[in-house]
Amino acid sequence: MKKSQHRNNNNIFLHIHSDKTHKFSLRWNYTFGLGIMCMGLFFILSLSGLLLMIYYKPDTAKAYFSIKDLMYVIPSGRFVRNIHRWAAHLMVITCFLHMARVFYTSAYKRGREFNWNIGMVLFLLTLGLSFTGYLLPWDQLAYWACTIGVNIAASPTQLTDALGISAVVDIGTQMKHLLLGSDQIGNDALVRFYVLHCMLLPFLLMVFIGVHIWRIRKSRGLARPDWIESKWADGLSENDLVHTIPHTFVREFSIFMFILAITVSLAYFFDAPLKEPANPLVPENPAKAPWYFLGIQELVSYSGFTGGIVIPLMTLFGLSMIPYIDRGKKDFARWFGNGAGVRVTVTSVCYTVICCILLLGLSIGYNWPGIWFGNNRQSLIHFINPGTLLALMFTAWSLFVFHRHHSIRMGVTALFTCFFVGLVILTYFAWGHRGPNWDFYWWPSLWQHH
Amino acid sequence: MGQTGLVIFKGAEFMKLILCVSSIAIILFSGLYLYQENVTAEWRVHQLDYLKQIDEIDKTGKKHVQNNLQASDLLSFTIELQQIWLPEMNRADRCISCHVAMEDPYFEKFDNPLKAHPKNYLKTHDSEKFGCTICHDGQGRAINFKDAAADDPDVFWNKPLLRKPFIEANCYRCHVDLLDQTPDYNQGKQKFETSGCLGCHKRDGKGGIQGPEFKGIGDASAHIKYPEKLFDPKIMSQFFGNQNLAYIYESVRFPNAQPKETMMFDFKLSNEDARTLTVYLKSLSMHQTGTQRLLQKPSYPLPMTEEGEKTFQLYCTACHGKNGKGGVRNSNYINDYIPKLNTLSDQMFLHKKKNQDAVILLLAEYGDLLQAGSQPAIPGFFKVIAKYMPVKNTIVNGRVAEKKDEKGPAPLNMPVWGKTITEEEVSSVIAYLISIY
Amino acid sequence: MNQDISKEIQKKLTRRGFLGFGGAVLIGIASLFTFFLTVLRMLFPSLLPGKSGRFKIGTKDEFLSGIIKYFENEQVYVFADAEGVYAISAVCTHLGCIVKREKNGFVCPCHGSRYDLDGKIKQGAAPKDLPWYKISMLPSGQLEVDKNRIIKPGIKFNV
Repeated sequence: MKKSQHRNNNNIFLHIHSDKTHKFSLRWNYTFGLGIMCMGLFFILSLSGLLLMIYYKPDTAKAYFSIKDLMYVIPSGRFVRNIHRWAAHLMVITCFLHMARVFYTSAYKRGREFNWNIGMVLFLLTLGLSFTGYLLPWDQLAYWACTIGVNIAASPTQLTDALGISAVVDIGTQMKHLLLGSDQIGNDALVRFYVLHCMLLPFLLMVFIGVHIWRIRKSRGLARPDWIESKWADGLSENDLVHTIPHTFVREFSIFMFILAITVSLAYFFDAPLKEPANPLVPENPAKAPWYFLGIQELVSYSGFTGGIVIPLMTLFGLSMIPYIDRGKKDFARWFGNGAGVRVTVTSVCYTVICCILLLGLSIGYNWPGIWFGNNRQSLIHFINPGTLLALMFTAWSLFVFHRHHSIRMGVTALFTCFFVGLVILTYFAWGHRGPNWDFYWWPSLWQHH
Repeated sequence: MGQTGLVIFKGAEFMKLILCVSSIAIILFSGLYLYQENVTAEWRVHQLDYLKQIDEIDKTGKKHVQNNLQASDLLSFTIELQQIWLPEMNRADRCISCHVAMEDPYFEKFDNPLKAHPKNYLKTHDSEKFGCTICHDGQGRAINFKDAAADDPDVFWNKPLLRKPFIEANCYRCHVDLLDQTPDYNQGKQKFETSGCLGCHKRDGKGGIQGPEFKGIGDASAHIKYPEKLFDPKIMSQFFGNQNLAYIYESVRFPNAQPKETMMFDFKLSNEDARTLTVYLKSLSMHQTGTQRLLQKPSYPLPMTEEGEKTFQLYCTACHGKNGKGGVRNSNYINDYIPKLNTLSDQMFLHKKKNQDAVILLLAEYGDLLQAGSQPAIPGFFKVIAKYMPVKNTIVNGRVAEKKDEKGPAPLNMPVWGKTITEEEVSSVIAYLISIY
Repeated sequence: MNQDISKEIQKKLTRRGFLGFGGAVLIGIASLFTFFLTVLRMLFPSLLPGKSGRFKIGTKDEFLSGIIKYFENEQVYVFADAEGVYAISAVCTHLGCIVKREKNGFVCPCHGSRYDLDGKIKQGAAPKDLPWYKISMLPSGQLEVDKNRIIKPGIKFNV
């Protein structure tokens, strides 16, 4: 490259980005800008969070009222609080979708395996941030959602109890003490969650975002397919590079403005919820975890241990292993790889939907576990319940697909799709069809709620 | 090559569009929000209205009611949010942002919110020290009426605004002695203490155990026991949608409404009685502002029979009837009805009034008749004692009621009162029952 | 040759691209600016927490000539004489201790600053006179002191 064609690298944008970007990476229907949306939302959350921190008081006597003050008398307080809430929800969603995008475009191969796992860490940090922030308003919603979350985290005690070793090793209780600083959710818990939410987790998130982006640069930009001259890549060649400023910059800017606009619109129309002040004597009924944990809560309603610990941990482990299991070099950076990928995905979706409806329907219709385990075999329920059965059915299906297509990639696609769609269905189900006492209801309007 | 240029721009057009639309949306909604918060805010409208009214006063040349001053002489008024800051009570009452005319006597006849506070309560309850919500309830930190009154079920606030006469209950957060200004409360309390409610319910730790304790019934969490939809809308509308009041009223007036299998009798109360009882019960709250509770006026000991009558009315009336006349059904009890008690003198062989009075005097002096020794003045005293002992025993230790049908449900038993009321109170009740023959 | 053409195309793309996007980017920056203004105004509270600085002192009739009242919670002295009612701050302008009223003025116990009966500094380290606060009458007839409004010494409230 001639010197005159070099931009100066004196700005931070050109340190984070390469001087030139390949045109392929700029196609909006390749990445949908989901990574930029995640990061943009993080900026929005940091700014709104910082402003909220000025007025929020992390003490059980004051927290709730400081939020009321934000909603009523602080200039733009309601606006900024709503922005913070909706940006948080959107960030969890975009994180999920970003992970799905990277998976379906096989962009975790060819040296990008480590970055996939960095992404997993970012995903967990995002969930952690969302969960710790959820407690801070100290209202009924927050308190009881936290109760559920902490009980899920403490459920290894069920295992150690069953094994009779709780006197020696009690991970569950240790976990509870770590999170709460006490046996109950009180002022100590609030301060711990505040420190996590405002200091430790954002710091870790920034560090890992840095690593994540640096890995992209090390891998020479976003994933691009080999056969760039193929029809799918619209006749681009390997050397179709353009200057990052202005091309990448304006696209990233547009995506950022887009997600900001969505957040602002939501913040204008919908207030972030705030129920009565937290009252440990009066449980919410139903007491629901934040929406992104509802799928797990449904699993936990079957079995605390397998639903809350085993299945999530195995899912996370499986996800992090994907790049190392699927080592094929084909289908890189192309949506669904070849045509078979689309078929496998679609059939997996159908299979998942059918399985979920079947198992959920059976368990509701036949009043699980009452009739299935008439004589109340506790340990059996842990291992045979709709959650574990679904997990087994998905695994069986993915093995079948693997066998049929002689392709690890297809098998992994089937497995990922099943778990992803299954989680979405369970989340929806727990959100819309579980009412007081976790009973089944056809619709929330049928609850008799106060 | 030109073709590849077009490729870039196809995507670019779309991005440009996104950018423009997003920017417009951001500007639009930010602007709308600012407009909503600063121009059309409810409190601002009311404050401007207040200033306008003051102008009208000036224009008509009216002098201010109290001091012959022009209205504008009095006012150094800026349009801003106002609040009463009460850190000891962890409250900040912003009612005065709309109720700016609260202490302006000129606005006595106006409508809310520009209405002056009625009567002279503010003279004895300085608004700066008390705020508003300690008496009126409501959400003091709110700055619009809907959130402040919290009548709506989608405003999540445990203490909605209380209207007359229910606001009377809140006087007793601090006051202890009965006030003239709370007639409904007084009537309700009177009704409560003469109907024997404490026969089944506990108040301040004293009473029966058949029914739930009244601790905290005045606090809104009581409403969580029964979902909103089950309340008769006619009842709810009487109370502006306040579920706590509706719950208390319904329990008292229609005990069979919920739960259906309740043991509580239907006392066939009138609407007015039920309302005054609701006012009284609302005051039984977990949260008294102890720091400012006033001292109770000293009470003087009453004569034995009057003491006995009071105790009887507190604990016994509901089952044994007014003045012990009985008439209350006890299902599956061998005698069908709860025993009437107004024939005690007869049963204790005290047929003459002078003997009755003598025994009452003995009870007053000795407490327990057994301590009185021999009483030659009263003929057949040993027979009196013989009847006295089981009566006292029944009161102090309770008694299991015999079933009419062995296989049927258990009838109401006589509860154990020895742990709840003192020996002196037991003697006074017996004295009272002797006297009413 | 190829390089030159590509350079030209690159340049064209850049200029055209920039101009094409330029308008949109400007609107974008304008909207970001609006957004920041809307959001950063959170830093400037409109309703300040704490006491409002205005407090009632009683009716006009309670302030006959010669009356002196000290309001401990607000740290303000209120005097009434033949000319009217006036309020003087009791907070020493040196370092904030509470002054004591003596026969011929105010004395600060901390560093010995002395003020005369009108709050004017006579001796000591205090840099300024004790401020006078505005007294006004409320519609209910009560007098109110407003610590947020400082007036010239000598102006007394009279009805």
